[in-house]
Amino acid sequence: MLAGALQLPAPRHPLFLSPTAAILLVSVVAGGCWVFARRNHEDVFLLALGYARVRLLATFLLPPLLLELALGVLVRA
Amino acid sequence: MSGAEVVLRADSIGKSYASRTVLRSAYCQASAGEVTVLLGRNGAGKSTLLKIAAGWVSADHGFVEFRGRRHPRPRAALLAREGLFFLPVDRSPLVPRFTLAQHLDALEARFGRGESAARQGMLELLGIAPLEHTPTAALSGGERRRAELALALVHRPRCLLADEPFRGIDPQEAEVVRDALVELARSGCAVVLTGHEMTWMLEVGDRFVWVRKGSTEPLGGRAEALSHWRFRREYLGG
Repeated sequence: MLAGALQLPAPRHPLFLSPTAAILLVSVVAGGCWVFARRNHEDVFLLALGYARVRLLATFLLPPLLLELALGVLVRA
Repeated sequence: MSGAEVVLRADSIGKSYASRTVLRSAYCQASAGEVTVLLGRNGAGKSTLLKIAAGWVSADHGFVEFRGRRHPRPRAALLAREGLFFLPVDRSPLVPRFTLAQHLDALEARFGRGESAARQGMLELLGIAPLEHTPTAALSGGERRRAELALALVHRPRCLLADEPFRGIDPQEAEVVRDALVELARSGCAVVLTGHEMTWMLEVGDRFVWVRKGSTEPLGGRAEALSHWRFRREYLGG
């Protein structure tokens, strides 16, 4: 075989994942679903309290954005 | 018509999902101190009308007027802040890991604290005082419904929209729910309900509206609704 003659590694399935990568992927998806379900339960109550979806989204996005901003300022200082 | 203040008005409401038209031109209004009941067959558009009035679903056309302010595109959070409380049938406002007391504390912190004796009395009226410190995930279906009503009673909203509040609860629990709804209306709240439990609906309702083929037809009071021959024939089946 040409691949053998050229000492190329055996081809892998394009969707092959190492066990570590598979575990990581499953954890991330499960974590995302858990967070979504948890937020979904709270969403109705928060709406009843008068908090808008935009504000709910901001609770997700603002902390990492502020952290990034703070890190950027620290790195430049 | 009575001279009570109109708190909520949903006018010329139309809504389609994909190729299916649910509402063509629906009208609904709720007055302070009155219980308005939306009746109609399954799929007639009652829940959709409530969701549009609460700002949960956007209408294709029409507008909602709440406490004199017109909302061409009503937003749920804004209406809630202005005093509208919506109890949907398919999504509970109770957070499973929170206790009822935590829910009530949050509502009081947001909308103002009443007398603690009144809160305790309300919980006793609803028969859920012993469950105040139980996570709501552990409550039965009927207890959850009563706990949801407890939120409304503590909140004291200007308008309550309750989608099928009598669904899936036993007759004794239904009596408690009826008393709570009547108490809320007596306190000046405009209440709008949907449901098929005619015994309870007739007991609690002051005004009846028939949602039919994407449109609405006011039936008037209890006696007028029961004597409406087409409503009797097409909805009640008698």
